[in-house]
Amino acid sequence: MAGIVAYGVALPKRRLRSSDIHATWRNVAEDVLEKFAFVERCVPGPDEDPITLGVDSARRCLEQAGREPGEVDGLVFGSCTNPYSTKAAATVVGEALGLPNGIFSTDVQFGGRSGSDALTVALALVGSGMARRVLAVASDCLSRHVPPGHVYEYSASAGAVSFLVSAEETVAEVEGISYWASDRADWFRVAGERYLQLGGGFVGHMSSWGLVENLLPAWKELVRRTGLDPASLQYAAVPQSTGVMPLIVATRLELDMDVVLPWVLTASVGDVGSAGVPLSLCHVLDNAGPGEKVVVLVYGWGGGATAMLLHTTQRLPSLPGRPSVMPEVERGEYVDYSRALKYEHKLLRPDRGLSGYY
Amino acid sequence: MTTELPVPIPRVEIHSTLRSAREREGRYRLVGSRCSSCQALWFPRRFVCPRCHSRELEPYQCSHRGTVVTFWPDTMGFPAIGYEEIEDRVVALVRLDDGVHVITEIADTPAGRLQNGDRVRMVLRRQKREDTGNWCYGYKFEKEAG
Repeated sequence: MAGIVAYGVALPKRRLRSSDIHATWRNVAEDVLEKFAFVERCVPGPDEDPITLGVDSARRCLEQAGREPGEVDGLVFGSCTNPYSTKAAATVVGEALGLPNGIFSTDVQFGGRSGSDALTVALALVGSGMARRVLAVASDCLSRHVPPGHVYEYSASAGAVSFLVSAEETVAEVEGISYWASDRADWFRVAGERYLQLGGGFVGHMSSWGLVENLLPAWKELVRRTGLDPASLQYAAVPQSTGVMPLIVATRLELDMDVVLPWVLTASVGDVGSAGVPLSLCHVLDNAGPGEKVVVLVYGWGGGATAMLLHTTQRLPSLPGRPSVMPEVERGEYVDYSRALKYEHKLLRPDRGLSGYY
Repeated sequence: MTTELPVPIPRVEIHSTLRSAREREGRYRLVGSRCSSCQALWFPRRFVCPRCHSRELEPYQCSHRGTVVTFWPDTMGFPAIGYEEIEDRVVALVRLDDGVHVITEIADTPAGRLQNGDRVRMVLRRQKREDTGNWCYGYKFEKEAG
């Protein structure tokens, strides 16, 4: 059975406090920050983007697995903020890692589900026998694509997670997987536009219409297929763009809060986009023991939902490099809002500068 | 609404897309050369061995971990062309674990928190844009935790 062999996490070092953004814009009532768990988020450095973060996480993943790049025969890169609109990021990532050129490599590029869809594609490649070991990279720099002054700026963040997928030496195996996809324009970026736009509003019922309407059927189908007893679940990685989202998911799917909330990282790192739920899954794998069930629930803006049931194996406790998430989360250094604006390229500048002086 | 990231394309000291594509293995993974006759290691890659003048060189991927030999903060007083967004830029001489020396930039650690002898590891970072506007990626080094 195909499953996860190893995982790697990379988060930018810089952090921005929500109170700094609020002091500049005062665009929400102060208690909203607390209600949505907007505490701090990552800020990508001027020299970081989804490709560099993805490469960093993939290198750590291969190190954890003890595998050489030459042993990997597939690469799937999932991101909704690829630095290129046309050119593939997977080829840059593949060459930077030193993967063989004769392998299948592709990008999955849409909404917040693209990262976990990279994992799904990797599982399919391994399960079908087309590849032996596949790297699935989920990476995003959402913060560069949220306009200054928008409420989402408190949460939109950056980071990357990689999984090595194989049928051998797995630490977590897939028991079942189900999908539900319907057209919902809750967040989108029209071709050529830089900034994300909202279709359904940031708060209120309409803000989570796509989330609930897609995730609920996917979850029900997963329970039906696998015969899962939701009460027996120990861990759940759920969508966490804001601190409210996990509460909505737990309530509507009738999951125990103790199963969901310990693995929500919104308050520490913000919304890492397509790497958000994979990051939460890594946090679960950092702490889970062998033979435990983990459910992964993903919703990507306008891209539908995936529900995946995993069980951990006897190899998990002996996996080196655990924990991998909290050391990355805790190594943050704070920057102020003006510096974050500069790093996220939100300040207007001439497009062809001679130097900083002229 | 702005449709493009306002990251300027520098007009001088600029990378050519064609040249940078040819040298990408060195920039992405520190691929240099090893002389087949005298076994000397070179980075960046060479076509003639500077030590024994042999032309028999093979690609060699240098170690991705090393030690800071010396470092200096960028004290020009104004930002270098194409590096305007990086304040506290630090340039260092790093001795890789296989003995090769590279001059490189240290990412994310200001000079005040760096010491000679610190362990560093290679990371991929975005460098200044190429002449066509293409993103250029290359190595920098990051201080290892602990």
